[in-house]
This record gives sequence, C-alpha cells and structure tokens, in this order.
Amino acid sequence: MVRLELFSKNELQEIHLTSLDALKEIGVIIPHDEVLRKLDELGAEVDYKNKHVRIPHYLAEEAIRKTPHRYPVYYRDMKTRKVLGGNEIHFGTVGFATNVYDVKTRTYRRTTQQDLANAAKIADALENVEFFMTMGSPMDVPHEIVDRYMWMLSFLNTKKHIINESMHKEGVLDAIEMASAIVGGKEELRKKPIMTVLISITSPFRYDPATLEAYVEACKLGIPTFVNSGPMGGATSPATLAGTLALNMAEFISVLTIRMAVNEKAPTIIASWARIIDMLESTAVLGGPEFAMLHAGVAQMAHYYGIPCGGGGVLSDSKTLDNQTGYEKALTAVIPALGGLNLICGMGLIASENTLSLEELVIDDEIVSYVKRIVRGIEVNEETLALDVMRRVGTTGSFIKERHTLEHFRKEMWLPKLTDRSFPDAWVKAGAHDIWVKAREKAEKILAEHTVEPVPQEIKERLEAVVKRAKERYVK
Amino acid sequence: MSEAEIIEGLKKAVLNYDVEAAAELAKKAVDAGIDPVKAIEEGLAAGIREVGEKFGRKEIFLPELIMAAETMNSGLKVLEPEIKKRKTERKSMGKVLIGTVAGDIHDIGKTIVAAMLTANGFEVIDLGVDVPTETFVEKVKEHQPQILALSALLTTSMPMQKEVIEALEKAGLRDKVKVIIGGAPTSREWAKEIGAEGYGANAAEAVEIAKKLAQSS
Repeated sequence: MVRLELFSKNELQEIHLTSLDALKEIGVIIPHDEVLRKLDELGAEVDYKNKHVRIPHYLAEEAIRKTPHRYPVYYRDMKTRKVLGGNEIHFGTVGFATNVYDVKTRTYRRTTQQDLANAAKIADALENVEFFMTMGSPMDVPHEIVDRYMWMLSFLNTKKHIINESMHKEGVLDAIEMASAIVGGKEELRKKPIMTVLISITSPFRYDPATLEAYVEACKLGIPTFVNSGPMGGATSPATLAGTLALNMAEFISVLTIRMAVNEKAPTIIASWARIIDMLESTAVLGGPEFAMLHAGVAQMAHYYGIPCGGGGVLSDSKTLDNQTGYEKALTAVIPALGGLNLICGMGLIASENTLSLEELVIDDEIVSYVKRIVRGIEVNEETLALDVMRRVGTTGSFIKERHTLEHFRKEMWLPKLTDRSFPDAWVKAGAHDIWVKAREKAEKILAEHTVEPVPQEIKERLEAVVKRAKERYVK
Repeated sequence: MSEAEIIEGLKKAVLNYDVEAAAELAKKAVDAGIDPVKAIEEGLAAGIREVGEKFGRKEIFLPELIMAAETMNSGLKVLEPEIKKRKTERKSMGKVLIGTVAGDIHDIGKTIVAAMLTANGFEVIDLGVDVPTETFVEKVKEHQPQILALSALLTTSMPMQKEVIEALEKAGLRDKVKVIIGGAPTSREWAKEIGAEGYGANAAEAVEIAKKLAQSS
C-alpha cells in the first residue's frame, strides 16, 4: 500500500497547534442552547448571548481522542459492510446537482426525480461506487421537502450506503423513520446504519442553526454523520494553503467537541471540501491542484489524530466531458487516495458539483478503478521479482506464454473496462468515438437491464407515507 | 475412462489451460482407439472455440488465449501422428504456416496471431522465430498450407518477407499458397509492393484476412 505524506512530523504539529489556538482565541459560533450548556459544563468559555464558544486546548484534545477511530456502515441489504477509518479507501458519488448535462447535445437542463432515480440505479450497478451521496436535487418537487424525496428516491433505487443532507431536525427524523422501516427498527439502524447524515459547517467558524440541530439529532440517535467543512482559500479562509488547512481542521475539531458533548458514542467522519476561489471567475475551484493537495493534507492530519476522514475528490470544474474533466478528476482522485482519505466523494458530477452526468459517472467508475490499482502499489517478493522466469526465458524468448504471466497478469495489471487501447486502425473502423460514447452505451445498458434489489411494496408505501406527511405539514 | 469422458476431458483441459492434462488425455484417447479426428473436433477444438469466443467477449485475455492454444498443441502433438497413421484428415478452417523471418527474433506478435488463428479454428504450424527463407520453402512443400504468414518487426528484417516470396516463386510454389504479412514496420503498401495477398494491421485483422483467403482458395 502506497502512502503520500505532504508534511513532516514537525509541520503536522504546527498545523495542529494553529487549529487549537484558533479554537481557543477566535472560537466558534454555535447557535444551539443545549450544546452551549454542555460545552460550558465541559469547560469551554461560553458567551450565551452571542452563542460564541472558545474551546481550550485540553477540551479539543479530548474531543479528538474520544472520536470513534473506526466504524462500520452498511448497504441496504445489511450484509455488505464498509469500514471507515484506518487504511480504508472508499469511493462514492457526490451530491445535490440541480442540473443534468446531455453530452450528446451539449445542453444543460434542470434535474428531475427520474434523473436522480436513474443515477442511483447506475450507481447501484457500478462496482466502484460504494457510497451513494444523493446525486441530484430534483427540481420537480416542492422545495420545502426536497430532502425527503432525495432520501426516498435513493433508498428505492440503490442498495449502496446513502449519504444525504437533511435541512433540519424534522428532516433527519423523517429520514431515520424511512431507514428504520427498511431495516426493521431504530435499534437495528443504529447497529447497522444504512444511512449517513451530511451537514455543513459555514466557514469561517460558524454553524447554521437548522443544520446544527439536524447534526445534534443524528448524534443523539447514534446515526453516522458526515460533517463537511469547505473553507475557500482567499475567500472564507486564508489564501495560503497551510492556513486554510489549519482553519479546516479547527472547524472539524469544533464539531468533534460538539459530538462529544452530545453523545460520545456517535460515529462521525470529517469531510473536507477545502478549496480555493478562482481569482478571475470568482468560482469555487474543485478540480485544481490545491484541492488535491489539501485533501491529502487533511488525510495526513486525520491519520495523525487517528480519526476517520473523507471529503471531495474525483471532481472537475469542466462543463463538458473533455480532457479537463479527465485530468482534474484523475488527479483529485489519486492524490487524496494516496494521502489515505478514507471516503472520497465526487463521482458522477461535473461543472464543480453543479451538474449530473450519467456518462461521467460511468467514466468515474473507470478512474476510481485505475486509482485503486495505484493505491495497491507494487508488491515485491521472490515470486513477483520473477528471477526464475527470467532465467527460463533467457535472452531470446518472450514472457507472454509463460505460466507465471498467466498466473499474475490479472492481479498485477489493471484491466480497464472502458479505456480505449486499440490500434488506430481499429479505432477508426469502430467509428472514431470519444470515451463518452462507450460510457453512454454502458449507462443505457444498465438502465435497460440492471435490476436494483427491490424494497418490499409494504415498506415502499411507508416511505411514501413519510413524504406525504411532510408535504401536508410543510408545503404551503 | 469412457470415450465421452476423455473427449470432455480434452475440452476441459483447453478451458483450464492444463497443458499436461491435454497430452495425457490425448494418449489415453489413442490407447482407447478413439478416432483422433473426433478427439480433436469434439474435444480440443471445441475447447479452443469456446476460449476464442470468450476472448471475443473480452472475458479472457492474451495470456489465457495463448496458453489455451499451447494446451491444444500439446494434445495435437499426440493425436496428429495417429491421424497420419489412419490416413484420415483433420477438419479445420484451413492450414496456416507461420513464423518470424530470418534475422528477427520477435516472438510476441507472431505468437498472438498464431493463438488467435488457432482459436478461430485454423490448423496452425508455428515455425518460431528467425526462420531461414529456405525453411519456409521446405515447410510449404511439406505441409501444403493454404496460407503462409510472415512476421517482421524490424525495418532491417522486412526485406526478408520479400525474399521468402521470391524464393517461393523460384521453387514453383507461389501459386500453391497465399502469403499474408504483418509486423510494426510493415504496411498495406509494402504488402502490395512485394506481392503478398494480405496484410494484417493487428491480430484480429490477420484472422479476418486469413478467413477470407482460406474461403477463396
């Protein structure tokens, strides 16, 4: 296994101490009275009026130490288990696209429920998608309860582990009700969680009240959470990458402190979206070298702390399926993976996570498969050094018909499914296509032929009832 | 072992790339007096056809295809003398004589083409690498193949393809055999220039051309 380390021990400690000092001196806005009281009891300096908390070093250290270092989550089948933490590297889609791109006509349109269902079905069939972050926000449902539709459509159309955002406490409770219906109860869900609740910290150093309430609720019930902090260097964090990383980590330590105050047993994964602002376009840059490095950096910090880590990767700012998409996706996948980021989410979206592309999802499956091969590294032992075979073949023969080749090539060599390596003549003869043509064919084949393990009708009706109830309550 | 078991075993040996088992079972077939043509057709050749189909569907890869062809050859080595003895003949897509020309020791491309031809039902006689021109001529006389396939990977060995064709003419064999050529420096134009009947830019194309030529001869 290969591991990329950007920082020396000394540098790790400097970043760590900067985060701790920031939490102690600058502090965090935590708009949640119950949490404020608990933090006060634990020894934090709390300004109740301004909801402002300053966290002393020892409390921050304790929060890091008490975070579950490794925990399992499950697919909807409750059999497939994925562990987050340690040396594990997993990949998933990224979420909430409001647009869908049609690469054939090069046009954008709004995301619908059907688009999300299709994306989930394709993700279900692809080997390298392990986590399904709800890829699209359908625009053809009432916006007040879009999260309910997203949970339901995800549960119904893929068996993979679901990561989704809930807009507030009630949304989290509804999602948990749906997942509990599927697995047979809340206790069962806590034991074998098939869902993870995503929340976001607002950089710099601030929580949105509804989001925080959702987080607290999930923690209380012991449901895994995925806490996103995405400071934007030059805009919502310092322009220097070390400063952005220190701020990013400080925010994560603040959430771990809240977690400890609410429920010491609740599993949480920190999820970095640390990035920079483009200084001409004023856009958030997800496909750049800074993004790639920051995520290897976060991973190294997390390993230094011994806590599970995740975040963005396999991302691109390109608006179509071109070279830019390829190099940005590949590099923001491989660098964080080599850094040891446990859960890398980014498959399936383009245009800085704004837009869903079914073809890109299929291509990203190929990229991830490539990256996994690199992470596995080169095994060195007597058998793989193969001096015996070299002796046998000598100076004139070839290795292609050797049994050693037959026995090793499948494990040693990456065997692509989509990548074109044919001779030029054959490529021209086959129609001279870009990779997306093959990806589109594969996506269409999956939609036509793949069957997602179904949710029983009776449970499906319970999910629909949750959505209906939310509609009656919240949609004016 | 019954006849059916031996024949099924030969097919399985090819599917499992088990070179030793193929030779052993071929011996058993001969000892049991099984028709060698049947042992090939329903055993070894049935196996290699299945392997070829899997390769076409990209389920298996070159090392497996080549090892399957090797396995088939190890069985054939035992069964072919028996065919001669019985004065019968093997059914196939056609007989191909293949080799890399003199002065060139490149083996891989030629081996891949040979394996693919085998998997597509051709009877392939592989002369190896660095094959002298006179050997090609002798072997054409001896085996009377429909097709002679010449591989050259060097610009310096390319002219030997031309030399082989000229030698066939001199020996009065040119109209008895179709010549196809291949290898990185060669081209359709070169094939035309030296009077070869076919050119394969890659192994798949070599098989296509061999099929066309075998049908027309």
